[in-house]
Amino acid sequence: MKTNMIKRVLLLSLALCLALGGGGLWAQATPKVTLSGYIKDAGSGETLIGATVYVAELSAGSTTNEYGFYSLSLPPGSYKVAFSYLGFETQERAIELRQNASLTVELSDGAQQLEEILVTAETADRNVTSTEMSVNKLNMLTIAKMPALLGEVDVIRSIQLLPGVSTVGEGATGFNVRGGGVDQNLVLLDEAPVYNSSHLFGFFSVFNPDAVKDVKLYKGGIPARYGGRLSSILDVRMKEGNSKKLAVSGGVGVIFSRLAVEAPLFKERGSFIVAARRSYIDILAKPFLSESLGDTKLNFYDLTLKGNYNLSPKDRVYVSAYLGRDNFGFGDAAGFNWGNATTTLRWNHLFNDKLFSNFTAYYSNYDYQINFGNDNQNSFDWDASIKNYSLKSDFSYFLNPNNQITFGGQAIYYDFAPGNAVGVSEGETRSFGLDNKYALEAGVFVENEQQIGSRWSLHYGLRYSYFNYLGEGAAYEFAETGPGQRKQLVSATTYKANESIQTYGNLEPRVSARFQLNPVSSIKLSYNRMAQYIHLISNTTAASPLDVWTPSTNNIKPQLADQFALGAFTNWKDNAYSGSLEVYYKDFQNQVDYIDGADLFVNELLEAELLAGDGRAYGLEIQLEKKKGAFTGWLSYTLARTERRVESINNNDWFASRFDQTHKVNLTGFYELNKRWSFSANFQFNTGTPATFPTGRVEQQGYVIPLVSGNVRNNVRIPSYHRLDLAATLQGKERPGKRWNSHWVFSIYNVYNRRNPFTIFFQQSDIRTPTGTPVQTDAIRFSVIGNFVPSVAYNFNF
Amino acid sequence: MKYSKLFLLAGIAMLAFSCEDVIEVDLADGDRQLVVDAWINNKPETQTIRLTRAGAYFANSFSAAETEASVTVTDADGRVYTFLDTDKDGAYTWTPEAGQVFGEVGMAYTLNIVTAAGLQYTATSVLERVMPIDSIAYEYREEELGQPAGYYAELFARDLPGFGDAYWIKTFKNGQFLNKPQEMNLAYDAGFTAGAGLDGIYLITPIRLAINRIPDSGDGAVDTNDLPPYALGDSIYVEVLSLNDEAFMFLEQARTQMTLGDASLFAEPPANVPTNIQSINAATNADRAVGFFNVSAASSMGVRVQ
Repeated sequence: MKTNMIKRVLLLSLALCLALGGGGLWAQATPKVTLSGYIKDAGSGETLIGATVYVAELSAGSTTNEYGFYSLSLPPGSYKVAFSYLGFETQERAIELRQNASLTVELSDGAQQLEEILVTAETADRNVTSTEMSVNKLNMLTIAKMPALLGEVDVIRSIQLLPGVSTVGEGATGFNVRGGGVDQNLVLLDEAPVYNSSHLFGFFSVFNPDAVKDVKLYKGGIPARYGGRLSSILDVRMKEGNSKKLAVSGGVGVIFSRLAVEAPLFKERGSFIVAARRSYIDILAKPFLSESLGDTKLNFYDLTLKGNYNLSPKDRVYVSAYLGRDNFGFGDAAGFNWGNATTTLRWNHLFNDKLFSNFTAYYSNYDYQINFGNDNQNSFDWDASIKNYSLKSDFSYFLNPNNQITFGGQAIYYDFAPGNAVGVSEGETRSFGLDNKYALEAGVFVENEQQIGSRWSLHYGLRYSYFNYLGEGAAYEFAETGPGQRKQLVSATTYKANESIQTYGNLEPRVSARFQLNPVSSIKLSYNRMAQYIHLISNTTAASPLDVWTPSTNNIKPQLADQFALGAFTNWKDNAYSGSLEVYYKDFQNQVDYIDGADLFVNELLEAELLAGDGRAYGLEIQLEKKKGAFTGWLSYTLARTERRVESINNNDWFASRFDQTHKVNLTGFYELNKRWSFSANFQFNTGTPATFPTGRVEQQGYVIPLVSGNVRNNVRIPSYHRLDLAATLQGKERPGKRWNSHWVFSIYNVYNRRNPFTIFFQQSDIRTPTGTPVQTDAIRFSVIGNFVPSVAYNFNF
Repeated sequence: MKYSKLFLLAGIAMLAFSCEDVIEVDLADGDRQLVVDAWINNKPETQTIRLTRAGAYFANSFSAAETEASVTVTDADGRVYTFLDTDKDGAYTWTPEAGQVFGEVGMAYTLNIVTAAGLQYTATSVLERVMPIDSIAYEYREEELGQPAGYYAELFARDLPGFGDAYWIKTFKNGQFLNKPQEMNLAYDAGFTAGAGLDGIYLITPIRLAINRIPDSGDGAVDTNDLPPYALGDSIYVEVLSLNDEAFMFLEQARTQMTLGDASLFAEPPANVPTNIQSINAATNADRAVGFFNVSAASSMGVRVQ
């Protein structure tokens, strides 16, 4: 089976090479020379991702990769080469290209020109001309201008506004992309996965906006270099730090205070950034709490740092690290904390002008601890974690202006600690730890971006992923006991350390194609298959910080998804406006679900509580954007359906998933009044999410238990969600020679004070039922944000 | 599981932006299924099995009684106990004769019901052992963590050695059962769940303390029936009922389903609590029964605060 798979990979790779041949790989007659280098921001020295190099004489061009590197092979000659990046002044250089040359270009930002206010960081018409589809790039400048809850600029909350992205409700952790669960998003912070992207449940994300350079969300057409999750890739790249001068930025808001310092290192051969945030809800709340609650602890913080150093013109190393924690406590009686830690080491090496490489090693850890009890006679402690270590390499070969080949591989070693509990009661201790689980995930990939003539462009690739569930540990075998019932343990087999318990392998083809209709319009098509080997075990409405991840095992199969998407893209009025329309269909296999009343915490036989099901999602996404002028913004609309089918749930019939939103409308606008005042507004409308309402009451021992006739799931919808937010930004006065810049941001969230329901639940009235009287029941609308929320934040930099 | 909810709730509450409103909702009408409420025990007193019909969720009245049924419990040795509803109120009772003992640890009991319409139902329950209560302690506490000053009680009982014991701890304050769903106090061994592995020790602190009333949450209407903490002269009576695995799961899930609102963001999906009442000749969903049959061993203790 395994060797067969490998043969198939080899065959497909061969086919891929042959396909390349057709595109002119071996058809080059004249020798070519290469122009390569980096494109940077002249102000800070930050490399620019996705900046364009364009040679007008040949109508050929290229864009910079995630490290700001470009490479272009051309016949020798004299050229006018334009280097551009939206929001920056384009530079045109006359180049006499006789032999391979290296050229690093620094672009100045066009901040003085009002008409060039950015909406996206992409080059003006890249949305039309690239093969990328189902991709949203968010510029931090844009995110920073959007009205935000409590004035806190937030990456994930901004993503939740995008077409094709939904959530189970306000305040819920994570996001759902085109019908995928929250664990189906690969959230990468400088290439290291972040397992819980939220502070304070789902209110704020762990990314410090002061340290983030670039955010890209892939909802479809996912390149072969990414793998491991079904539904999306959220690629967050951190700033490298100012390599020209010391820069300090920070802010004071209602929730966080932030401070970031960046500076050059070693005579501008390197630079670093350190950014920290801390919330102070507990400090602010203290005077308002009664004395007995004074010991309440509620805070969260994160620390982000990154450094880079140029070893030589061909070698650059980076180190990035993130540490974040949420702390809750009630005096010393009880406490609860969770957080992520990641570390990434990277080495960019230029083998030659055409071959760029990157080697990455990372470590990522998510863990939580709970403790109860303030004396050693009576306490309960519990912790769980997921750790992983990975090595990764990527090679980009800039073969010629028509072909850019990327290939590489990755190996990840997982160490899951699903739960260790120690209970002490009256001095007697019982400790109960679940065995750690181990696994190895590996992937190899090759992909090519190929230009065929002036109309066609292809991006195709193949990934082979491999998973090995490893000892040491016990593998369980279960017998079915009936649909939806807890499975019966049949036998347990013990495995030694690193012994293979179960392996899986999957071929994941990825293809995107673009057909240029005319200079401003194109049609795109994509297909991708994704495999996911680790699963978040969560059966609550919103994922909680206490949910644990589990590997695929002999009982849990890897999740698979196939997605087809078709889109039309156009720009008009000199790229001032852009429009896109996409339709997609997505098919899911082996989705993890749960028996009713599943016991998911500290359960050695967790697998007996799980069910496997299918999913399907389809929809239409439309986006219109105005990118230039004093008034900018976008309007998006999504029509979508996402469903699951799991044996024993909803009588084995399809049911709408908890985050299904039929209609979703988002209108976001920015208006620059003058150099000092700017305004933004955001309006959102969603169809209410599905819910299960009871049809009857069951009297049992004086209680009333809800009854749903026929045990259907998600049989009704809660009312629609809609909300308007406004923000105004006041820039400090500009004076020549003044380094200190500051601005105030005033915002109102939920302007018209709507109580949008998160859910409607049914329960016995809060009033105690006197003996001999019937139980009263109520329907309760629960709103996470039940009021309008004004806020103010002050930001500065120098 | 219950630990986590406590914390998550606390966090959300602190955000203070959330709110709950009682609203009007039109609910679809469901099948009026037979509801079997059969929780009997080995105490030497009248045992009751109630049969009703599921009512509309918002009926806010007692469900209609199912009368004229034949109700028997048979043990594995073939002894038959006949439950009769002489006053036609849906409460079928059986009273032991003087000196008669009902309920033997390890014995399987089978409930058989035949309704007037001829529909037949059956369920089986094994009576499990129960831990004895050592003591009930109480102490006066000043106002703390939002709880008013008063006497607070703690139950000392040691889980029987060996995994797999489960208990329903029912508390009566001055004879009044603490009947809020949030007050339902369940233990698996000495902890909350089977997985926690807390075998053979005293019940862990949160379970020991869950014999105190839970006050009005302060949301919505003021609760005129709210109970204060224990005071001098109050009686505290605690009854521990043994549960088999199936019965523990039933109550655990019933509590979950009755308190989804408390879990707010982290609520489990609403679903029917599985029944152990099997229908023998049901043709439609409306003919099937819901509810539960369980036979428990009981231990109890009462104290007076003085």
